[in-house]
Amino acid sequence: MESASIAAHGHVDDHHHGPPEAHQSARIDRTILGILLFILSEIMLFGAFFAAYFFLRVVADPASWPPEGIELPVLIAGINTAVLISSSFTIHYALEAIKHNNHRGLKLGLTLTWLLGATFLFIQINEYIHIGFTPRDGAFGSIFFSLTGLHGAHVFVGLLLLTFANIRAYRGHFGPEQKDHLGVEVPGIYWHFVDIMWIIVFLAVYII
Amino acid sequence: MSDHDTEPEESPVPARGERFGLDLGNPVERETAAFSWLIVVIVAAITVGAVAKLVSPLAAVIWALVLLGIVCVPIFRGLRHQLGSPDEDEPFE
Repeated sequence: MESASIAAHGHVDDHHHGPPEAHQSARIDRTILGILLFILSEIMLFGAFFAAYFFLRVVADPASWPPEGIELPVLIAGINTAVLISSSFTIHYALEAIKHNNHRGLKLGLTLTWLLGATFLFIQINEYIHIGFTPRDGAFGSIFFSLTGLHGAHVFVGLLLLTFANIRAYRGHFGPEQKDHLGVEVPGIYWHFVDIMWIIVFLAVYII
Repeated sequence: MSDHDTEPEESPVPARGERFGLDLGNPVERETAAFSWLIVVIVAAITVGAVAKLVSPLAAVIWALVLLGIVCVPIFRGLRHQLGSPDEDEPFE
């Protein structure tokens, strides 16, 4: 059996154990493909909610959207948008800092990002409490809370990822090499995605 | 020389989408690319908001769809380059 293996490969493989490595596309790394498919599935999930929102808006009487008596807090939502966009800048700063071996900048950037994300979530929950309608108050109430709530859930998941990144940063786990700061880069990509989604939600629900 | 030692062929399509000083490459590959796309979305959102306020919500939706169509072109080209075709994969042993 061993001689057959030598004949087939031209050399003896003393180190390889277990099943052969999984076949994969020659052009894309499997981890990148995994993130890509995850983001695409998320886009489709948000797309379904946006489709529902615009469908309801089109079939509703334009004068009754939002329904009478409902006043959306555009200013507060705008401030919240600025807070979330700022958090993308701080996580970008954190990553640039660790690329230059600046651990202090990394910790500062990650801490600020977490605080800004938590502030966004706090303001959004506060908005829910004081907004004056509930998900049961017609189609507008249902889709408003569904869309903003779906996004809020993503912010919550992002905060969990940032919590782990913060803990690891304070323990000194990250370094300037790319393989040594993937624990910041991947949450960073996710955080930017969440930020982009909020900009679209804010535009669709509060501005347009 | 075995197949594994062969260097991958250079593609005529640039892997990194450097445009306007921004890294508009694959946003799931690098955080810098994702951040650059965020900047693009912020600028696009400002124009859509301005159209909504100055013209009408319907015009803003149409403008947003136009922008989405423009952005889809480099995304599609990038994905086609990166994912490739199953015919181009290495033979399964």
